[in-house]
Amino acid sequence: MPTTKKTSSKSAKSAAAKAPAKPALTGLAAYFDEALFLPELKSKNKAEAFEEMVDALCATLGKQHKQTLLSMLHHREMLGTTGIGRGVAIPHGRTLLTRHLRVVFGRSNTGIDYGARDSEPVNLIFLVVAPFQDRGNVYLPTLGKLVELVRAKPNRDKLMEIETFDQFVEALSAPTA
Amino acid sequence: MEATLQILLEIQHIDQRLSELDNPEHVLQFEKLGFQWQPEHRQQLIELRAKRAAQIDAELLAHYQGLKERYGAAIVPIDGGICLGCFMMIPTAWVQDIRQSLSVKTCGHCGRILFWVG
Repeated sequence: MPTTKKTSSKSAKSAAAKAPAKPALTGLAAYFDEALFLPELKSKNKAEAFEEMVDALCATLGKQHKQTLLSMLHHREMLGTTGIGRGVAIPHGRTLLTRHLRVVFGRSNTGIDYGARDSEPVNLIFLVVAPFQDRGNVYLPTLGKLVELVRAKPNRDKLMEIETFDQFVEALSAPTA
Repeated sequence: MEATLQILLEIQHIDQRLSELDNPEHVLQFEKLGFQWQPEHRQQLIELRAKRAAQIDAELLAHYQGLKERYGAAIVPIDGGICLGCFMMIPTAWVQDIRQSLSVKTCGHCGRILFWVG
């Protein structure tokens, strides 16, 4: 191997060693990912929003799964809305298509026609997918934590204001209602 | 993805929803969180399932049904070349096919339909 390469490899290693390691996300934040953080949804209705958010999910899970994931979400909506009111929706479902629980966060500043319980437009969407074999039993508790988080108006307001993923992670650790 | 496998996955998803709906404790827990469950819409989902079921080979559907009744989940993931239904090894040559969802493969030991989870 040429000496120059050795040097650059060494300096890269040393730079990496000096760079502060990003701490692993914990708590509720552990289920989120910067690639699944969509603070500017363009969608106007529920079907479009699902599509936009599932596209982000499929970048990780595989594009071939898009239709299967979308139909899974629409089946849930057939049985009742996941728009829980106050501008929040938490579409969810178990699927074979993921090994771990994942959450996509989407925000619409203009509001989405979602058919929520209170008939109000939805601004904040947390799309939750969990594996069928939920060995750690985290699915329902995670849904519960998300519901608790958004029950408090200050938390919803904060989620409407944040601009970066780091701010979002911080908002997730806010006290619940 | 292979079309038949995609339909089978959709059927398994519908079956999962129906089992959730048939579980009063589950429904109650979700309602407490503010989610709506309308059991009266169950029929719509059953009809959709029947529509999807009509799109696949009757023998394969019967196999799926048999597995579902026996094991609960008819389609299971593979991990490291192992069927996560019965934890037995799968022929190496199949793993790539399953990974690319090229065809419907069943476990030689338990008969479950195999699926690769990314």
